[in-house]
Amino acid sequence: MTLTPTTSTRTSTRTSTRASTVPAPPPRGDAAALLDVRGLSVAFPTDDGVVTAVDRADLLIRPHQVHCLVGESGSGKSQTARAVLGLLDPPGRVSAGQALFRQADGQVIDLTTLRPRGRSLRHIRGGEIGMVFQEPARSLSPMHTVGAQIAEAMRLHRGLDRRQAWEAAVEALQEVRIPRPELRAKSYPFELSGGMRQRAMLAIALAGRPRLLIADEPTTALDVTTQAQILRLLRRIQEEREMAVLFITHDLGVVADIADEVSVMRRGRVVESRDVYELFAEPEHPYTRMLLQATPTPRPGPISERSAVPAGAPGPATLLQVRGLTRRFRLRSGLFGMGRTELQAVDDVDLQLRQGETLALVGESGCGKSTLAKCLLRVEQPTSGSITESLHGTPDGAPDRTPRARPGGLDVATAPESALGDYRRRVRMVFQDPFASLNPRMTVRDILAEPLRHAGPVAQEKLVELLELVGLEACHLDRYPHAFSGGQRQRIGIARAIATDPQVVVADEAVSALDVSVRAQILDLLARLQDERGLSYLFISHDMSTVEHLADRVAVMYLGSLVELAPAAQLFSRPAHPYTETLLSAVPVADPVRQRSREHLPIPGELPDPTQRPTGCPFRTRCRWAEDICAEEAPAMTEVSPGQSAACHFAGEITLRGLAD
Amino acid sequence: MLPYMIRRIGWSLLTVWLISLVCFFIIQAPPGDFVSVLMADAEAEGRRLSSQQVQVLRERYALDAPWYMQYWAWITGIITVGDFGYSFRWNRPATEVILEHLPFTVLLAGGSLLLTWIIAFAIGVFTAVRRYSISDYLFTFLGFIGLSVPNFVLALVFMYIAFRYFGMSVGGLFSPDMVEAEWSPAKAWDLMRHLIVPALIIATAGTAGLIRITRANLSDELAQPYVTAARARGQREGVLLMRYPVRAAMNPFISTVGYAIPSVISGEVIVSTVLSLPTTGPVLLGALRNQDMYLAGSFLLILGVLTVIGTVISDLVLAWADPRVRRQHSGAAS
Repeated sequence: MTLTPTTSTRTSTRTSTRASTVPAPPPRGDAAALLDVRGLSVAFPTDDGVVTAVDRADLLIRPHQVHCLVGESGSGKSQTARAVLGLLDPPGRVSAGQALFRQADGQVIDLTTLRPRGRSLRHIRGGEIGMVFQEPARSLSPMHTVGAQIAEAMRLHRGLDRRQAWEAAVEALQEVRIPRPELRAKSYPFELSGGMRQRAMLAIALAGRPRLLIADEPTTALDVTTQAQILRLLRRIQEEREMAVLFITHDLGVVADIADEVSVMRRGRVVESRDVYELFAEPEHPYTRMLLQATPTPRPGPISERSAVPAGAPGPATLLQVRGLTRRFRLRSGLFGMGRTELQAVDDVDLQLRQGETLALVGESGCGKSTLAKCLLRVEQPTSGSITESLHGTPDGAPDRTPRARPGGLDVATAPESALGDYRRRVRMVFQDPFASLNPRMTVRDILAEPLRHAGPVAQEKLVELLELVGLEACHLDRYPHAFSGGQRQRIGIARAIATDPQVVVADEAVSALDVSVRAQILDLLARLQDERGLSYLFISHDMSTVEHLADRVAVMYLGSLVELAPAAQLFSRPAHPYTETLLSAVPVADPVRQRSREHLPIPGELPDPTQRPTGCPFRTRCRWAEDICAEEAPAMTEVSPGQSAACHFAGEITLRGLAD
Repeated sequence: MLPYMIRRIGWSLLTVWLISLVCFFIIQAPPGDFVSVLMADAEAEGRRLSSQQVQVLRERYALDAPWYMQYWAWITGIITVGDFGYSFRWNRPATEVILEHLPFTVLLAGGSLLLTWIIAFAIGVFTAVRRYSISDYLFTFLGFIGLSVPNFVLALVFMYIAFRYFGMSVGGLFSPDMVEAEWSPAKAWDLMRHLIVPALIIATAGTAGLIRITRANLSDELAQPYVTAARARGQREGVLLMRYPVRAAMNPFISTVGYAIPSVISGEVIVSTVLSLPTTGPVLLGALRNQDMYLAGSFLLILGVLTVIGTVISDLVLAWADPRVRRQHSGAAS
């Protein structure tokens, strides 16, 4: 067995799989690689043959560097990371290639040759390479306290005894900025918020003082403000510890925020690997270009160029008028369930939806946006308030609509169930999860015909026409949902929504579960349908970048209250409510130059428990402008400029930053 | 935790009261009251009860009073002095009959529960970790046989094998020459030898079910991200297996406590009958067949109460073992 240390071309790789260490490859011009993945392939043998999840991927991570691995779902980015640490789920295995890791003592070791359960790989895991996972809720054991799980890692890699490990765990929680760490260490994961869980995961991964941290979509399950907090924390720790980070994500905004270098993965292969500024400025590979084009970035430029509804114009007709809408939930608590805690899911919201417009409803999880949508469809009965509908006549160009006299002016909030049939055919919904929202036991034909069946037999032509409208074909009619991809299923969901020729479509996070490229197509489809049929959309989303591109007006909710309502252009450039400003500041702009030159506002604290709303203004506990009056009095919505109103005592007095600042 | 316990126990007291009402009406269901049955029995044997005896019994059980007074007399007797009424069949107080059979029943039930746990835990964990291996299929096959073969058939087969090939006497709890003997190490050993077969038989059925549940639960837990996360922080496979997924999959074991406690009394009726064991099971069967209503009613009451107690205990143990149950029910979260 001879090794040629001088010619370290990529072909002179594994000469013996038994040799766990190979001589260090000579430095490639710049800093020596910390992790050098060469020609890595991961195969999953299945009953239908071998599936290659990773196909000869190359990846080079230098010390002290944040390396982003970006790609759409199924591109093999997670499997690459797992293969490095020998964490592939069975029956997956590394079928070719190397993962050369330079240990602290300078020795280079091929991680793929180590036994997955062996001592040396166990030392690497946690001791040299830490890992953070996507779902913090499920990556922590629910049966053990957070402190116990951090202490475990401390004992494994720092040789501490039980007491020292616990103290180190409390310190580690302090370091990831968890308030009251002694108390939190004794909490169980389900007692912490999502952001705190991910901080705890980070504390575990950092316990062994690793030189490389692998973060697999660590912020995907989190709200945007929490994401911004975690990204900042991660960046700070990375700089303090001079650690390298392999950051796996699908979000180019996040990439623009934290990456030094970027590798783009597609179908198991790394198609492009570059410096982050170069990649965004001049993407080379067509796939990278496509990804960048599909990712919305805020349009720069002054407001006047943007389409804003002119002040005082008569404007289009109002279809839905919401006044004082409130939905409370009562939660049982205390002895024998006698006690009641009240949860104000939607609190006194006024809103109107106009003909042909797209009204976006944004806010973080638990802010009541979905409950509000459910109230609009009367899936949820509002506790008080009114929803007056003025759906009338037929939209121009709508096919085969039998004109029907409508009384109009129905109060949806209080109308009896029997009177809602017609309303529910005119206001339809598209759901978030394209996999869960279609009945797997119904064919596409059944799914589309179901909302039409009340009026007698459904003609084949009608169904084919619907399918063609959403870009599918007649031959798809008799298939079951499982035969379609996520994007195609969402098209079916949209076809089902427009089957009854509605005037209003409520889209609840309708594109959130889709990949960037598919998301762009679905948004195009929604825009086309709006043009052709004059639809009005209530577009519920937590993704501000998408909303910025799509919405005419935006309503921002926080803890059940409407805090700002404004034309989209106005809201994104000159927000009037401090919460909107915070939200915009947290949105990562998919452009490294702009993202890094923006001023980042501090984002204090966490979303309060909805059952314990602060008095007065709900946002005051996290607001940098808050004064005494905010605790005493709840601010009412006041108009600060034409079409823009905000619920803030200082609305109009304070100047807030927009997305571009 | 405390409010949860109080709430839980409060509800079970209500349940116990309802059960006692039902049992009382079952006892009352046959025509005639119990003294008239007793008199008829005595006459059939050619004896007569003195009118004074009859009077004492009628007053003791308030037989001439309305039903709620009768219920009151019956239930206070049970609660204050443990008087469950009178067994015609045995011609003795029901309490005595039950107590006499209890020790062996407890021994048998306890032994078989322990066996069930040990076997089910080992095989359940093994098959879940080695899913879809030859040994998994083998144990799964055996498990299904255990599930599907009725206990009494197993009992007969065991008896035949033990008698035919090992020359053991399997009926009862003692060898014929030991029954009347004084307690001694030899007699205790004899009892152990006789207990092991019925305990194994009773354990088999429970084991098979529990293996399946453990395997299914543990398989789910093994696929959870927190297992991978524990691996990614460098923990040893054996340690992390026991500490995380196995711990989370233990809940079904705790739940079996709830079912196990009533079986202390019902004592696996059919197996005990086939093996002619002196446990409470056959006594209950006899009481039901002979319309020995006080004895049967007492059994039903005790069984019902023990089921409730078992469920409460397993709930409380579950809350102790699983922080999700403990913290969320107590409202102590966050």
